[in-house]
Amino acid sequence: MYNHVVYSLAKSGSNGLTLDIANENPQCTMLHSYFSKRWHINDDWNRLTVNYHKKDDYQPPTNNMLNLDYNENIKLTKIRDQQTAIKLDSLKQFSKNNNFVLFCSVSYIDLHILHFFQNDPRTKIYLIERNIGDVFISLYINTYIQWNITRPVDSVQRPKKVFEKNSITIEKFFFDDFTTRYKKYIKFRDRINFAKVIQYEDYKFKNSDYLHEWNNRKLDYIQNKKEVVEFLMQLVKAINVIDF
Amino acid sequence: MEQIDISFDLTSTDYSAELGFSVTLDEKTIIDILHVDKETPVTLKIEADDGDHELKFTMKNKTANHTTVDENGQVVKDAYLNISNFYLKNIKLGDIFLEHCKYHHDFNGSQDPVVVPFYGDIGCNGTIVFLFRSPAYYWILETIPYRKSNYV
Repeated sequence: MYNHVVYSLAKSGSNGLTLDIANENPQCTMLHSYFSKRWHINDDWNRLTVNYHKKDDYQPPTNNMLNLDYNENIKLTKIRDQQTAIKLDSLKQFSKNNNFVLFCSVSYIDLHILHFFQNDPRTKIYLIERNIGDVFISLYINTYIQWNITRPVDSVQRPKKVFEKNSITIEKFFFDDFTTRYKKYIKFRDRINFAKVIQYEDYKFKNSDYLHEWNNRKLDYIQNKKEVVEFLMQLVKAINVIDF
Repeated sequence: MEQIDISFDLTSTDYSAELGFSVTLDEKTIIDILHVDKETPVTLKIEADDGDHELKFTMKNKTANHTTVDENGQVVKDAYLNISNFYLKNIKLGDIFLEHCKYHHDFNGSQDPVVVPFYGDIGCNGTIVFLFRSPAYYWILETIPYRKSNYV
């Protein structure tokens, strides 16, 4: 019996891979998005519930914090770290008597989480990778253009976002956010011993909803294409030069 | 149809040697230089249909006289060309350019033809074939080496 953990950058098919692994391992409890925001922690560690609980909703780690002053930012970071620690502790307790499948996003993984996973002989970690241009564009569209449909929201009241062809300009903050996220992804990826590395483009998802072929025409929506391509080239090159 | 700006620096280790150089796109000659006699910044504007394309760089007219060998057979002086700072649509490709080039030559007629990786220097008469696809931005995004080699 093993625990199964999926690690990825973002928009790399981690939901689909996690679901497939869960279906292949019915003895495991699927703790979907455990470290992000969906799971409510009970006092009884053996009954981690699957229901969304607003009070457990975490503050997104970056964007909402951009407009805060330094002290506010530190305070929020502390709260988030505490929440992550509580969740990690509950997972440790839970795993004493249960096996689980989950994905651990780049935004929430830290050394404590990594240490727990890597030192648990019952845990297998998988990496799913996807074309970085696809990830970048999909992440931007998903986060800032198309409403995040994985989060339960009131469909009537949710904000309407406009997505017209050739109307998007990727703003500077997103380059910075992505750089932070990518550096963190690389930092942890290089410390993890993976049971398997999977290419999104080669993997056959059991649920076809998760397979989206590299639609490079998505770039057509972006006004500052050259800037995006240049940024990604320089980012990958800079990280490669520094870390490899 | 996409308009693509291409630029690179063409240099020689010996400008007195009459090394020739040409560029073709899909077999159509774009530039033909009889003698690379000075550092030559090359700028091209090409029109490319969607799909695969071959950009070929050919060095010609190198002779045995352009290479000086000592009594031990070691090359002490040689004339060769170099391509550097390759830009596609104003984006410097760096290693992506080299990785998508193949160097076809036959050691100036002294050996069987070979196809080898290209590292920037053109030491033998022959052709470097650079393969790319239009639209160029999409091709670059698909080509960025985002994976660590030991995971491939």
